[in-house]
Amino acid sequence: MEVEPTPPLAAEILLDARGLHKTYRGGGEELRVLRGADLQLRKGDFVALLGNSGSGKSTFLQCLGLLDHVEEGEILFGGREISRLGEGDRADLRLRSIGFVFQFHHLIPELTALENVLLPSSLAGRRDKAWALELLRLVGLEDKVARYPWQLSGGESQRVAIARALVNRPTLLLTDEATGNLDRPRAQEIVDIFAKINQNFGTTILSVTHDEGLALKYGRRLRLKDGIVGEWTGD
Amino acid sequence: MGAFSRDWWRLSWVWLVDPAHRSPPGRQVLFRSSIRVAALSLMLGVGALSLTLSIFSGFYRTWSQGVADALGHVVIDTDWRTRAELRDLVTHFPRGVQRVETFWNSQGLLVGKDGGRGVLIEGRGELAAADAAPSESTPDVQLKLGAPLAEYLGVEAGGTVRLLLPGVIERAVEARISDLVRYGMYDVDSRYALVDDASFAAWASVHDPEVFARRPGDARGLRVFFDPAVIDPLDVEKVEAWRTGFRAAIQDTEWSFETTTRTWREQRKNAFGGMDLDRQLLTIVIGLLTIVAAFNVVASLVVLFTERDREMATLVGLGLSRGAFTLWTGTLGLIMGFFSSLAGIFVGWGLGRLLQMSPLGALPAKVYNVERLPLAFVWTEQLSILGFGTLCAWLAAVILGWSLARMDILRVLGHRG
Ligand SMILES: Nc1ncnc2c1ncn2[C@@H]1O[C@H](COP(=O)(O)OP(=O)(O)O)[C@@H](O)[C@H]1O
Ligand SMILES: [Mg+2]
Repeated sequence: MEVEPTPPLAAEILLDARGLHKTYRGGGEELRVLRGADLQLRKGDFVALLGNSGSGKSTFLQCLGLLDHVEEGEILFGGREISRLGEGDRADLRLRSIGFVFQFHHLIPELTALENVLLPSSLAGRRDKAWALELLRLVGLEDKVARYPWQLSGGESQRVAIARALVNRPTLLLTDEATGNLDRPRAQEIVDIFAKINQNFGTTILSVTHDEGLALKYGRRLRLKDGIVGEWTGD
Repeated sequence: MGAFSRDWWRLSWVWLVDPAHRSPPGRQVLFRSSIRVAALSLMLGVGALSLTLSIFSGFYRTWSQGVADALGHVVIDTDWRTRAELRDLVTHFPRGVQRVETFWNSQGLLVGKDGGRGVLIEGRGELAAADAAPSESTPDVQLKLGAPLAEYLGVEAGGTVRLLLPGVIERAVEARISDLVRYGMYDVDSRYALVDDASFAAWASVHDPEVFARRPGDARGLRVFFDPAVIDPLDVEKVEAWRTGFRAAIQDTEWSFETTTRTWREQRKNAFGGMDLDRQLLTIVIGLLTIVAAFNVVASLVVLFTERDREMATLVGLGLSRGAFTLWTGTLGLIMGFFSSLAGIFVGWGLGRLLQMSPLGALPAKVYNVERLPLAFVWTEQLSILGFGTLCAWLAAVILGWSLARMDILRVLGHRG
């Protein structure tokens, strides 16, 4: 059998977004949020995405996370074009390959922390309780696995949400202002957890934040401005 | 596949049952009451459908049985002359016949104490009996009357009535009423006048030898009664099969007379056709009510969805596919539809029993010719109602699920302006 040689560089690239365009229309007005945004993430990257409020960071992340559609451009994920996939394939990628953490934790209130973490693995048909418990230990909640979300603090809930996003061992984790609702020490803890995940599991992480101090903990910093992604220069 | 995961169904169960210890304090749970109301309304809809159909089937069965027993399960019209000829014909009958009676019909007039009425008189005799020989004694002509007809004429069992058969005999016959019968269908009972052929022949042999010599009446033939253990006369298909068998059997015989066969249904085509139409209309009307009730179940799913929209959007965001979502709502609809409909069938059955036992179940015999509300709980019928209720709820839930699965998750989650 002949095996196609994989180009060494391409093998390293996990996500390759090219020329993404997204325009919001409403009330006769057009808001061109993404105007040809490019982004390349290598496997194991640990990247912060900065930008002013309203610059389109969330929009960009939601498009990458297949929660929204781009109008133009392509997104290669592991070498596969995913921006034009059907709804079923998009759902499957969200379930198995791309984790997403919002500013709000969005946990199911009627399920315990452990049940919340288990849910996506159960949906994917590979329920693994030991792994869910290990993730909860990783985020420092081993003694609160049986608590309901409304019995947890904001920071604790956010950590459950992170464990949930990781339970199906995604190769890419996208976080959108995951620390936005937390005080400084709590936010620091969360970013430390991201770093740990990145190191322990090699998960590629792209975090949107507007906090430059937190961004310094990341390996790379980018900025979204005028609908285009560039390097963050620190001004 | 995702829709069948254990935790997902546990979550559905939690949402449906909503154990207090799991819910955050103060969480709105309109859903539980709305699902109860919806299940109740579907149950009542199905119950109404079930009860109506079983009452209808009850009347239908009572009347069918009455008509079949009064007129014969199959009628063979044939221009017979002697019983010997007919006995030959009977040897070609397929299996399942219990009794065969000869008949002739003639338009006649009955005059009683209170009045007279023109009816089709039927002379009925046992085929097994010997051809009547001229008789010396002149017993009364025996007459069986439908109870409503006797009442109209003002006569009772044991009394007499004057019978005129123009075209058959010149003079009036004083006939004795041997029996009053009630088959339960007014259409039959109010016109039922049966002359015992043996007594008529004996009378004619003395008073009108010419009539005795030929067979009287305009229509003649055999009335065939099945053995219910072999052929249920109400089972139209079996009766048809018997007729087909009979026709095939006489095709190659020497039988020289024109022969037509009619089943009991065909003898009262109009009445049963009308009943079929009534039944269809009622089924459609109540069926529509049931569909509405089934959509109530779905309306309660909408409440569930409205109350849990953030969680559902979260699940879709986490990768629950549209198909899995639809499968989920569909299954919920199926389960609720099935159990509500099942409960509805029990309600219909129970109500029917209750109605039969209560004074409400007593019917004015003058109006219906049936004394108690007839109920026939036909299982195949009830099963199709169950299937119908379940199917409606399932379909409605699938439609709902499919449209809900297209939700804008970012808007629901509050991440869109
Ligand atoms: N659904 C929408 N319809 C119209 N405009 C929107 C919608 N979502 C976001 N926007 C607008 O697009 C711009 C970018 O939004 P967003 O991506 O949330 O920015 P950021 O996350 O960087 O604050 C903002 O001006 C916002 O008001
Ligand atoms: Mg944002």
